[in-house]
Amino acid sequence: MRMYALGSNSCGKLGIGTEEDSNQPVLVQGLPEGVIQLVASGGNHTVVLINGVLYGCGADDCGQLGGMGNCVVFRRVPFDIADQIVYVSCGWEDTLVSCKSGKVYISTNIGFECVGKVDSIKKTASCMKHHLILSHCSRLYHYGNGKVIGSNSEKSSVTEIAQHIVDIAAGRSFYVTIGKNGVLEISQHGRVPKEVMNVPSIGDVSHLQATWSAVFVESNNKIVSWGKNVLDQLFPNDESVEQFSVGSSHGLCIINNQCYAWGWNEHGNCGNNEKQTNGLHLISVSNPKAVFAGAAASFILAD
Amino acid sequence: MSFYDEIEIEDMTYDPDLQIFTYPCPCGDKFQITLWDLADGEDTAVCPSCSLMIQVIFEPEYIAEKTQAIAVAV
Ligand SMILES: [Zn+2]
Repeated sequence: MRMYALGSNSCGKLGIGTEEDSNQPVLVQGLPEGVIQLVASGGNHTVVLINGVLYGCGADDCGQLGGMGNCVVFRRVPFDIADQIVYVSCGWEDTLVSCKSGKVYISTNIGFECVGKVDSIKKTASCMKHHLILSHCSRLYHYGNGKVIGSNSEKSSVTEIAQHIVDIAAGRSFYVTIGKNGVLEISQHGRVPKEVMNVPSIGDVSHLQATWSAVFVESNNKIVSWGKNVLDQLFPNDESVEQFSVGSSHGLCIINNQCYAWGWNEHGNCGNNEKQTNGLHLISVSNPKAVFAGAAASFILAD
Repeated sequence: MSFYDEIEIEDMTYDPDLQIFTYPCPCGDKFQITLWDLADGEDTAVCPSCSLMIQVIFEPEYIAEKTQAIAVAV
């Protein structure tokens, strides 16, 4: 499996060997052969989980790459804990690593620190300075900036905040949950954009995701999105997609075995040199299998 | 000129050494504005790496407190 990257390359977060932006997909450097399980990224760093091993590139100024130093190609992230990594997500300047034991680790200036233990981990979602952890027992936990849960302090350990949750997504100052009853809910604390609060009436939803200030779900084989649209970041049409991913202000999807992008394109992350894309724009990569969108950065996995 | 977003000053990060307020930009860099620009009534924070701008929402007293603290220290 190969990984291509394009878009904003601040601090070398694309892993293509330079710090120059690229508006065309370039093969990343430094990743070993293997099945790419997960891609996650913050403002200026990217991490990839391959065969249970974590690789990273970009900025390490806050220890977000485990202290390996800034790097313009992928290198193994020093995570010297005898536990199997099952999930990774990134805040703006940190990396949350979850292990099979249920232990949750956050990157710090002096390496990864354990911030709590939950029952088995299903998924995590991070944005800016807050992190959400969802367990297989449908319990939801929070770590980090407390504003999204109505607290003024920083939470230094993982705290349970809800039960009966089956899916989660993290926005810039809010989070979204889908409950066992199928109901989608927006968090109520902090500065939730009013456009996000305005949930449209939708039936069964799946594949929940969020950008900084918009929410995306799949419903009846279509992407439904709502929230702020100043940079055309909402999904532009009714096409049914095989997979999609949304970044800070743009998105990527696969339709009929082709990769497309929409939204803010100032850094070439939508595959051309227009500032903003009109509708969906084709990114030419053969046999795309999965896409991941970051902070004006795009990653495409292909056979 | 249109703003990408409006951001409350309390949500920005203040660096007392550089006397500058910053906030993440979707490109990866940070919007920035100096304490002294804010004291002059300027409210547009810009990103050095792209064309996006945010409008900073603040009370003049919030800024005056910080500039006075610096004046006292000097
Ligand atoms: Zn920017």
